[in-house]
Amino acid sequence: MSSFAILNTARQGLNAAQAGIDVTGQNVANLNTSGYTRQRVQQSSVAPLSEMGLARFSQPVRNGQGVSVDGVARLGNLFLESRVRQTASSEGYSAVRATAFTSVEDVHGEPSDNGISATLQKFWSGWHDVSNSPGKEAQARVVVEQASGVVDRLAAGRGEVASQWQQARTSAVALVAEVNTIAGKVAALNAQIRDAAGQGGSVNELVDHRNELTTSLAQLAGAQTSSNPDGTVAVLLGGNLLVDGATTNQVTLAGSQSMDGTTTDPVRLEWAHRAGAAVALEGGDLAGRLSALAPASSGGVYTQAAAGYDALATSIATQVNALHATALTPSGAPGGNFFVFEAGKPPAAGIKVAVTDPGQVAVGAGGGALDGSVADKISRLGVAPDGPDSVWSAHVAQLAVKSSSATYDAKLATIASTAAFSDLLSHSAVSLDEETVNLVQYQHAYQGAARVLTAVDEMLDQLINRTGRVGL
Amino acid sequence: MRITNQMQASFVTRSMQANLARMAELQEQGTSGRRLVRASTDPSSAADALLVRNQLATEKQYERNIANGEGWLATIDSTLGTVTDIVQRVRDLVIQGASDTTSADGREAIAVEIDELRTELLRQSNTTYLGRTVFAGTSDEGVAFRDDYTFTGTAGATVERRIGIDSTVQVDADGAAVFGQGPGSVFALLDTVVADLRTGTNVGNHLAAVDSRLSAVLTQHTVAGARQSQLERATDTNSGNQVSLEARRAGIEDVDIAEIAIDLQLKQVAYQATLSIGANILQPTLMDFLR
Repeated sequence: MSSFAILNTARQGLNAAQAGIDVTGQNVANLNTSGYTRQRVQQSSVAPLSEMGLARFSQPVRNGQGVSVDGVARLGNLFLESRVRQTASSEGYSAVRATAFTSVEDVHGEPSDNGISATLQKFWSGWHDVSNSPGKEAQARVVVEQASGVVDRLAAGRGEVASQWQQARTSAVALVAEVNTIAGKVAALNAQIRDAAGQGGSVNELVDHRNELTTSLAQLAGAQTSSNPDGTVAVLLGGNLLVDGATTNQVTLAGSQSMDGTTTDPVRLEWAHRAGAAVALEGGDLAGRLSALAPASSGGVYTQAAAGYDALATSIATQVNALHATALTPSGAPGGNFFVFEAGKPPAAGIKVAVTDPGQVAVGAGGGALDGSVADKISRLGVAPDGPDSVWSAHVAQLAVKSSSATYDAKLATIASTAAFSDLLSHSAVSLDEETVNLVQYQHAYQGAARVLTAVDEMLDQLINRTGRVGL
Repeated sequence: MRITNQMQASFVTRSMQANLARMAELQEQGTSGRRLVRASTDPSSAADALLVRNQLATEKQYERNIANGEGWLATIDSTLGTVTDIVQRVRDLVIQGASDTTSADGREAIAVEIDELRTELLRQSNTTYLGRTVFAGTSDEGVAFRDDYTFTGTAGATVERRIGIDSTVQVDADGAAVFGQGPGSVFALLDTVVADLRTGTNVGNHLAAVDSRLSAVLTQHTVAGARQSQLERATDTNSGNQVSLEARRAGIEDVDIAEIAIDLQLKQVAYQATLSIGANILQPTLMDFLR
């Protein structure tokens, strides 16, 4: 083999070392880049040229031809990445539900001095005082005021829950827009990666970007990703394709714009290109939000809380009205309804106090003009086993149980997601110490190759310039 | 398992955040004094807390009812005491009037006094408490007995005060039982006695009637007294109930400040340990040792 061939080998060694240092530099530069997967130079030794003919016998020893840099490998792990996506999807779902429950509980504000049950206590106390002093305007006025207080709290509480529903729906619309945007970006990256891989270029950074986007799609909408042989990925939502190569299918939010309309027209996600075809979300932020917006029969958080307020309003009105109608006012007129419902509104929003004048408060039942026995019966509704207070505490207790289990689920999901992400980081993130060692290695390899080059250069210098000059 | 720089950084950050979160929760509990910030913190305790609050509010209302009832019964007690004295005096006068040693002038003087006493008795029967006639509690006429001695109250109607979930105490007195009504009332009896004294009829026949009226008043007085002592016992029970319910509520809802303070101190020590360990992990790399 010729001496010039050794030059070639040394040159290839220099190239390989330089490529190694290059890639190490890339890794170190991206030490803190989120979503970056570390890269390694892949090099392999080159086999010697196979000779033909008589030359096979003249040179039995043949050396390899140096090193070739095959490419830059991306040290990712498909399984770890898909696990991160799965755990992110359940974390998104349970976190949204836990937050919805917590904010509904804050509206209820129980147990405290500011909740509805404290207002109800004052109402029943007012009836006690009216029973003790029938015919007195002051106590009757107080009980009418307390009743207005109860009615206001009911309407305010239900209204607050309805406005939280509205906010959740608005943010669901924003999320759907985000899902569509990200799907578009994934499709664009798919096209770029396919073209670049087809031409033989390096696509590692593009793949990293695409991975971040698909993880975010998993966290937002529970999307699943599957890889295709040509380097693109297909993103599936509920089994149907959201991103297919370079094309996307858009999704859109459909359903009622107000909380009271969800029983007939629940809020749902649909495919834009196939109207009426619902998307069966399997997890993610959007699925959590849609389940919180669902009607009460499907476990919707806001609708069930509103149903609790409605049940309380109905119970108070029915039971108080029933007793009030049997009683007479101090002037002898029959009692009539104490509470009325405004037509066309749900009970808690439409309940009103029908008594405007203190003289219309009926307290007695015929045992003399100043009898207070019915007012006493009304005040006992506060401690009745099936009275409004027990209806309300049953609702609060149920809500508390659901909320605490949702919070617990969210905690567990966060732990799982953190563990999965930590495993991914462990496998694919950059360790500065490791890169430093690699740097030293490649540096030595470069120095070694440079030495070989120098040695061959001196050899050739000897051969060319000093051969045949004896004694000079 | 490889340890990478991002893992170390995120681990240190997560540990600090977890410590800070726990410290924030303790601070919230300590400053608000409430363990049950939301019902979901402890659902079963929350249900208990609502029940205890309900009972506490009811007991406070019973306390007001008892105080109101005590006012009524105290009024009745002193009124019936005066009525007893008046009827006793009438009895003595009737005996004196029935005696043969009394002259016509003496009988006239007795008649005048009995007349005065009858007016006084009628006045006493119309005693009011807070604008309500105590001997005809459900009447709104302002008097229990009209000038013609008819009773304004309704038969069988009582004024009750609720002192417990299933217990009430009657706080008025039945005027018809104390004084009788209409022609059978003590006033009509006294009128008859006065008329008889003036016409010279022997009033000794009326002594039995006066005695029966006296025993009616004494009976009602005893009944009212029994109700008063029932209310006194109820007051004691009620304050005992309120204290124990408040203790139960505090046990369910409130935090133990001492426990919170100790816990907070421990968490602060843990936080400082995390900070110093984090600082030690994050600083050195291989770079420091290579030329």
